Amino acid sequence: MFIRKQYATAEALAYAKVLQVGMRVSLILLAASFVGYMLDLFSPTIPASQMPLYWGMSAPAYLEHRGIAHQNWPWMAQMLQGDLVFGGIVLMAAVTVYCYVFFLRFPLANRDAVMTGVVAGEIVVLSLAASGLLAVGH
Amino acid sequence: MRHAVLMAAALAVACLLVSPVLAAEAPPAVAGAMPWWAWPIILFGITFLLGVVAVLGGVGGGVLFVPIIGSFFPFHLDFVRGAGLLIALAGSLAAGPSLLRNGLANLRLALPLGLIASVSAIMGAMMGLALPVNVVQTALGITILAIVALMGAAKKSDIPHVAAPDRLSQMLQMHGIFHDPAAGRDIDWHVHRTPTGMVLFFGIGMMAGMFGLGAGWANVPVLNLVMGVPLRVSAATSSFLLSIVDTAAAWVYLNKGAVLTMIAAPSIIGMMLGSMVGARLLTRAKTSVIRKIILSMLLLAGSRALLKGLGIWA
Repeated sequence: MFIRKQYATAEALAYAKVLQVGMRVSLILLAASFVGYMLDLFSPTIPASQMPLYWGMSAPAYLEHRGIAHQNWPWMAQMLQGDLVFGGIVLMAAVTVYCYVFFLRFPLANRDAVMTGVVAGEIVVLSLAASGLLAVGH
Repeated sequence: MRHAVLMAAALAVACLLVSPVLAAEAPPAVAGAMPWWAWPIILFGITFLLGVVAVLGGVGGGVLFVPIIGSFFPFHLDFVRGAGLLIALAGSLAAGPSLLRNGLANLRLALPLGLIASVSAIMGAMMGLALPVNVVQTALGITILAIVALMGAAKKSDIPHVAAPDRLSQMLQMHGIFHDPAAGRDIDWHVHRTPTGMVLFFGIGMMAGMFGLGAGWANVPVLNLVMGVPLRVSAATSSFLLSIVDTAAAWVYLNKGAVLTMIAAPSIIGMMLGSMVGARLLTRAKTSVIRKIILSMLLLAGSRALLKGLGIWA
């Protein structure tokens, strides 16, 4: 009987499984919400047809024109204004954070202090970036 | 599940194509020769083609997307860089699971380097969004032209000789085993010059965050030529690494408002579909010719970005 040799470690296989689910869900959500956006199903504050007025502006100028310049999470403000495509994009950006949180149990279980520090450090770095605390002050 | 992703992407494409019908009821938003709905369609078409040639040429999508779209489309560079990062991130997330499962992408190698590069990517993203756009455009042009030189001159080593692993790589357990189909045997690999590699990854992360380029063009030479990682493991680990580094920088762009869904969504979908087609053409295409085409495209886009940044070709 042919037995396929396994080169990946158990932790890599577990990471791959979580990554695959997160990636697929975020891509489906992105494509589906973009369909809704282009068909004007969500009645966004700024419809797709008006975007050429904004896409040549810098990011700070764009946020100023939308009246959300001082909000910490502009993507959330735009979602609340009907641009639901941000749902898929934000989920895509969150997949790696979730994978790391899931993965942390492996070095913890192995009492691998170095790798636990690396993984915990990355969770802190990505969480800080996602929190918006590092993005204050245009 | 894969079919669901493809169906959703196909629906998005169909939606792009029917948008002119909807637009018949809405006046154009701005005066100009091009109606609003033409831009996302063109963007989708261009990113689809970029996705095909990126796979055939063995480069990431972001490194082609940012200089080309940033130089020839009417979008502000802030939004182009934000979309470039998301494109690189989407491609890396899509490739990650299979690369991890077949043992080519190595977690023990990627995670420490990812931590260093993601910290510097955040710093680069914040610097890039704070600097004047002409400065970033000029620096982007210089960087792209340097990448062309690097890609043209860089050598590769399928299985580099590592006399002895260094202490840091041993402590971080940066080693592994993979099957080399060309040699027909399993290869044990180790890493050396880890501190030097880490310093270089700090710089790579900085540039990835600042320009939204992804970083495969720099990851692979550093892993392969500096740290002594076999080429196939280098390429796979580099692809996986992008999911870590680009996530960090993408959050900064999202939280700075530098992501426009009208630019990002068709670009991601176009690049993903193009990459799938490119992967199917991989066995039939002459990759040396494709590589020359990519270098020519980057040379043109890099020159354009440099001249645009200097105000010579506005």
